[in-house]
Formats: sequence, structure tokens, C-alpha cells
Amino acid sequence: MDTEDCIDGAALDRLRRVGQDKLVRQMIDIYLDYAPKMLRNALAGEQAGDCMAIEHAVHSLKSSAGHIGASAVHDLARRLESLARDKQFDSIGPLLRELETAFEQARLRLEELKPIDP
Amino acid sequence: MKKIAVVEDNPDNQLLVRAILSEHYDITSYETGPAALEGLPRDPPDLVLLDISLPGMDGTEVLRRIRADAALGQVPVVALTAHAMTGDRDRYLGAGFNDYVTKPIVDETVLLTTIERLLNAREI
Repeated sequence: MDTEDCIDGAALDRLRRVGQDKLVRQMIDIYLDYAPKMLRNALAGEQAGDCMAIEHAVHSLKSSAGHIGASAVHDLARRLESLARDKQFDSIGPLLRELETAFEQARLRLEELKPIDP
Repeated sequence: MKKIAVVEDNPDNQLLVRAILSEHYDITSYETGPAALEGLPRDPPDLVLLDISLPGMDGTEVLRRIRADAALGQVPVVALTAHAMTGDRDRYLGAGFNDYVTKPIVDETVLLTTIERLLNAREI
């Protein structure tokens, strides 16, 4: 994996193997629509001091990021899920900031990688 | 074709599972536990793929109600879960799932062979 690339090409290759460029395109489109909502839910949970809301949001985000190869997003979401489950609210804030940054990087890269609709 | 019901709220998981399975199986999707519990008796599947962490009614409660239904009770149910720590497998099997598959799905053959094995076991 190219360490400069925040998207793991192997994940997209797996999707391509299952459903060709069409599936890759659809999965990226769904991620770009759905994942921001999960991130917003996590941030709303942070505002409300609601660990369970954060946990549910990052749990979904973790899975979606994993499928699309957004490795940093996946890893941060996994760590946040543990913290939220253990109600370690004070540790959550800094990690959410990192998640927001990683999320934006992944978003931009996915826009670049999305196969063109023929 | 055998019928598989997929109970999963994430749209990308739904799409991926459908992409992996729809060539071999007839797929029906439900986004919530209550929707599945309403639809399954009317359209009984040969196997259920059930997300553990559904919003609202969680997967283990959905399973409990499936098992309590005389018509559906013995249908093979495979847990779809992003939790995969030591002890989880025993917990899911103890709860009544026939097997489980972890998310993200990195190897689609695991999902396919798990389903195939359970469907073949039923036919013996």
C-alpha cells in the first residue's frame, strides 16, 4: 500500500473483483452520502455529551470506511468506538478532531478515485 | 434460487452483500428489526443475514423473536458483526445464531461458503 495514499487500493480492488467499476462507483457514492451523516451524528453526540450516540455513529462509520479502504478513518472510528463504549468522554474530543481531518482527506481522495460513469 | 433475507441498516453494507450474493440467491433487504419481523413471516427466506448492531431493536432481540416464531423458528441465521473479539463467537452461537461473518467483508468467499454450508446442512 502506498503510504502516501489515505485510501487502500486493495479495498477498492476487492470491490472491483466483486462488481467491477460499477460497484466501486456505487460504493464510493454511498460512502460519500452516508458517511458524512455518521460523522455529523458523532459530532452531535459530542455536543450532547452522549457516548452512546457517538458509539453508534462511529460503529457504522468504521464499517463503511473499512469497505471503501479509508484506513485512517476506519482505525480512528474503531478507537473512538472503544472509548465511547467505555464512557471515556474526555479522551474522545481530540480523537474526533483527528477523525474530522482524516475524513476530509479520504473524501477528497475518493472523489479522485471514483471510476467515471461511462 | 434459494432466498436470503438481509437485515442491515448501512446502505453500503446492503449494496455489497447484495453484489456478492445476488448472482446466486434471491435477496430481500430489510433496514430495521421491526421491518424484518413484519416481512419475514410473509416471505419466509431459506436463510437470514442479520446485522447485530441495528438501530432501535438490536440483532439479538430480532433473533430471539425469529426463534420464537413457530413458522420461522429454525431458519439459519448468520450474524453480521463488526465486533470480532475473543469470546464473541461463543456469545453469538450461544445466543442462537448459526454462525457469524465479520464486517468489513474483506473476503467475499467467507460469506458465500458460510451460507452454502448452512443451506446444504438443511437439505441433509
